[in-house]
Amino acid sequence: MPPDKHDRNEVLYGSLGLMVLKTLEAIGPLHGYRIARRIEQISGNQLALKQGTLYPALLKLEQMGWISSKWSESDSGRRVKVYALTRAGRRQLQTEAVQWQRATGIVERFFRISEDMP
Amino acid sequence: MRHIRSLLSRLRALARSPQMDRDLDDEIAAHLAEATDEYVARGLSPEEARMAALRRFGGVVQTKEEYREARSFGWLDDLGQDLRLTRRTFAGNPAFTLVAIVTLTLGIGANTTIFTLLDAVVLKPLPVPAARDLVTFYENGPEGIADAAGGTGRYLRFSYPRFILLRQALDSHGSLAAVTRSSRFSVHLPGAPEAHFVQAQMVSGGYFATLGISASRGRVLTDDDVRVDRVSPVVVISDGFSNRILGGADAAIGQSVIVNGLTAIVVGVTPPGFFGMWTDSESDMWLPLTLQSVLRYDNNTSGYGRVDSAKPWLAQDNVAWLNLVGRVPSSELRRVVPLLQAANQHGIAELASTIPNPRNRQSMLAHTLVVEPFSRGFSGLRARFSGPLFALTAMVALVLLVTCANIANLLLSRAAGRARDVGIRISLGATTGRLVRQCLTESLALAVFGGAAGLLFGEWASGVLARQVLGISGELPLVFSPDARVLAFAAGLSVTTAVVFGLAPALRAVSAGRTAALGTTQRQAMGHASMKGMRSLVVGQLALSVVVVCAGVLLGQTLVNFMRIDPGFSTDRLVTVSLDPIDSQYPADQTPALARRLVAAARGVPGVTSAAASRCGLIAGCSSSSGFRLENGGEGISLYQNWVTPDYFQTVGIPLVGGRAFNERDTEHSARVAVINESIARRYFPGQNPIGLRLGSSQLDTEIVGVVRDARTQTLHEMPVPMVYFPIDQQRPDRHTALTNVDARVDGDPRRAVGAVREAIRRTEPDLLVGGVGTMSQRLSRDLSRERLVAYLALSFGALTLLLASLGLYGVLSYGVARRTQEIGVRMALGARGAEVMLIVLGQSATLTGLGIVLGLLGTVSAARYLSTMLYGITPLDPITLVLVSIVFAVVTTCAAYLPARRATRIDPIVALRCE
Repeated sequence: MPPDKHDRNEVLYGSLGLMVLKTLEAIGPLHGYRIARRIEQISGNQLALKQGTLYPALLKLEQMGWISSKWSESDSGRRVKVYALTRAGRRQLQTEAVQWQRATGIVERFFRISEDMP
Repeated sequence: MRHIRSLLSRLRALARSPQMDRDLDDEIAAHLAEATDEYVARGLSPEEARMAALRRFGGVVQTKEEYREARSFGWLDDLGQDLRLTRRTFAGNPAFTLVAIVTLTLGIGANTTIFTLLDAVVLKPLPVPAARDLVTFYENGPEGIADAAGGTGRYLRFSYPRFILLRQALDSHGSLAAVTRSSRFSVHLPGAPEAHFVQAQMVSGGYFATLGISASRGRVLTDDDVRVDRVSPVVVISDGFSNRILGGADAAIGQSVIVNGLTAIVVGVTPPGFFGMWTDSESDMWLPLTLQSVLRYDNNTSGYGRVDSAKPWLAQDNVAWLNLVGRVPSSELRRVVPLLQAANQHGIAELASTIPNPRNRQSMLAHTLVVEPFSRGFSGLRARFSGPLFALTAMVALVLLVTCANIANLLLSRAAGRARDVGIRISLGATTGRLVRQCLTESLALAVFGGAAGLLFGEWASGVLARQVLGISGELPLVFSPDARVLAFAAGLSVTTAVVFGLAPALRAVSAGRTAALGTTQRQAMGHASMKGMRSLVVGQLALSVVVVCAGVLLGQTLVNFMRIDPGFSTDRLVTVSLDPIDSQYPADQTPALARRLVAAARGVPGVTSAAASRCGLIAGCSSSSGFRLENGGEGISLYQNWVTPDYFQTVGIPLVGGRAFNERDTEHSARVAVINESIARRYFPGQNPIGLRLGSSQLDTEIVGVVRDARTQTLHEMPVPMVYFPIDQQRPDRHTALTNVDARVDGDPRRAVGAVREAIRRTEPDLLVGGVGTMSQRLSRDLSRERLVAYLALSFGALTLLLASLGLYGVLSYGVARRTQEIGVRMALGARGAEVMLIVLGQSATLTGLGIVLGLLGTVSAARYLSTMLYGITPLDPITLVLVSIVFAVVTTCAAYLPARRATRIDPIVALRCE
């Protein structure tokens, strides 16, 4: 029985989507496993990501039209699905990056204020 | 925009979902392979690498489920899967499926049937805008109760001057309209020879405005059409009438029609579906009430004091002939009612001052006005059938509960068989919600099939019942047409039942599955809990069926008791004919001549031994009463009266107990004579011989020449009333009576004479409207239609619940025997004999049945008081009935238990021990 599956997914989906978009922007088209590894590396292996959760997230991004996919070959010669950032995805990444920074900025300020309080 | 894109993508995905499933499989496989490669490169063995890759990935099944959920409309996809599974389950178990669907069809069908009738007769509001603001008016008086539901009777009738008085009192607080009861008018088209007979009402100018109805073509009547100072020959007709007779609504406007001899112009057509205020007697035509005397309208009226019925009624305060309907916003109502009551009291006082008889005057002054909500209109059917229909609704709801319990039991026993299946799915990561949804999908599918079939069944059965039992002939009133309300009811019922009978088994299946997933056997998994659940369901079923069967038997007994009533006349071998000479345009002063011709015609039919005509027929819904003076018996005494031809008493078989009957020498010119019944003799001439005494309306001018036995003349439901008979030849010149009935006594099967009598009357009087020719037994059976409806339905519901409960018991016992195969095998191996094994099973059956019967009897006792008003000649706690029902249950359940019990005795110990 998967425990509290919903809570974690909901939290992750938002930021996971952003991470995927950013990864694709930085490196270019990648297949699922490579994306997962890249995110793990960047996060310094601090993110307890079940790699499986990546796929529903990829699907959602594709449904939104932010990424596209096509079947291709991996370096090891396997048939893999390669995802690439679309133009809409690039725009979305920009807006989300701004929003994300604003949100973290606000939260950060809260922490600062509560530290200032006697 | 974003949502739409996502939606479109999901829709596309739905269309090619198997392909996408394969793609995902491939993608995950590639992912795992890449990961494994990497771990191998780091130095793990291939197996270790594979395990590590899987661990990193998380649950493959969960991922797929989530992916699918994200891809499509989760539930829709699940539903598709559930439905496929359901279809497979159904196909794999056709007997179960069929039994379940048939049971549900009967359960839901029976409920839909009764609801359709209840809705049509009791619940449905009039099809007019804001019907909740409508109010009706009647008076409470010392002479009895008003039939406010049925919309008939003198307490609901007001004179025209009183109407005007009340309308002035209401003023701008609302609107008030007056309307006659619908009655039959003849309509000719100019130049066409044949007459159409249509139900028409005469109305005040505000009638349509008050109801909120505007014309679909042309215009409705207004105050300008209904003015006392001029005759305005205009009519508004119904949509149905315009289509039937006048070639459509557009063609009808401006056409001339001849109504009761008056040429009138059609000025408007009402919208389809509008039928007036009486849901069970629909109107097709509306005329200004100022036309009353021109149209010779002479129905549904009561007079107070001295009435000249030949003069127009409009100006006469003592002729009450109008029903009132008002529209008052509910917020205003409390303020307005006292104003209306005060005005009415004023009118009563004025009217009372004109009444000479002091007793009548006092009783008039005691009247008070009642204003009541009227959203549902009048319905004679409602007045008679609302009690029985509510009782039947309760009964049929119990039937449905028993049905649900049965299906729940079937599903429960199946849940046991599925525990391992479910267990495997749980191990594979299926969630509880998902599994419960799967089970509920099955229940819902059953309910949808059962509900759809039940709806069709209900539509058919309610039509049959409305005709056969409510006694509606010809086209069913519009109010009976199935509509969205019935559809919603059936749909709601189906879903509710699916949840009621499906949820517990679904949860049980999942929890059993979970236990099974832990590796226990199916038999242990099902455990005791579920058997206990099934047993309580059976006990509940039996208890509910006991209640329904008891009610059925009591109501059946009531019908039998009614049929055994001696009505006081001889009911067999009697042919009855009902007539309508007023509508046939027969002048009332020719009634005696018409009576002689009709009697002669009937006498001429072979097999007829005697014939008679009368003002009112027996059990024909016709009555006439009047105030009388009696010699040494006081005055103002209200007696029922009837005018009859000489052979009347002999023909209908009312025995003469003293004096003489009428004969040919009692004519228009001879001395006035009367025959009274025993009730009058007993009550008003106690200890005297009434023969030779006199009575009369104002003068004591009529001699009592005979006394006859009491008879229930109007309905079997009422005790005989005080009745005085007069020779039809001696009717009063100022108040002619019409003839509405001919009776013929035959010496063979009366049903065979019906056609000949009808033909003989048609030949003699081709222009006479003949309402119906039939036998007296048919009339009596119509009179008992309410008791028959209730008795037949309650008995069939009883039989149905008994059958269902027995099936339920059979199922549970069979399942119990199957579960205990091993145990019984051991017992038999240890030397238990067949009879002992059988006793175990029968004992179990007896325990369940006994509990059920006891609970059922307790239920019957507490439900009894609701039933008592509908019973006749039997108490609701009739001990014989209760004992009888208990015995029937004991016998039937023992039969149901016998098969599983016998199966238990045939268990082969060796086979039993080997299994599992």
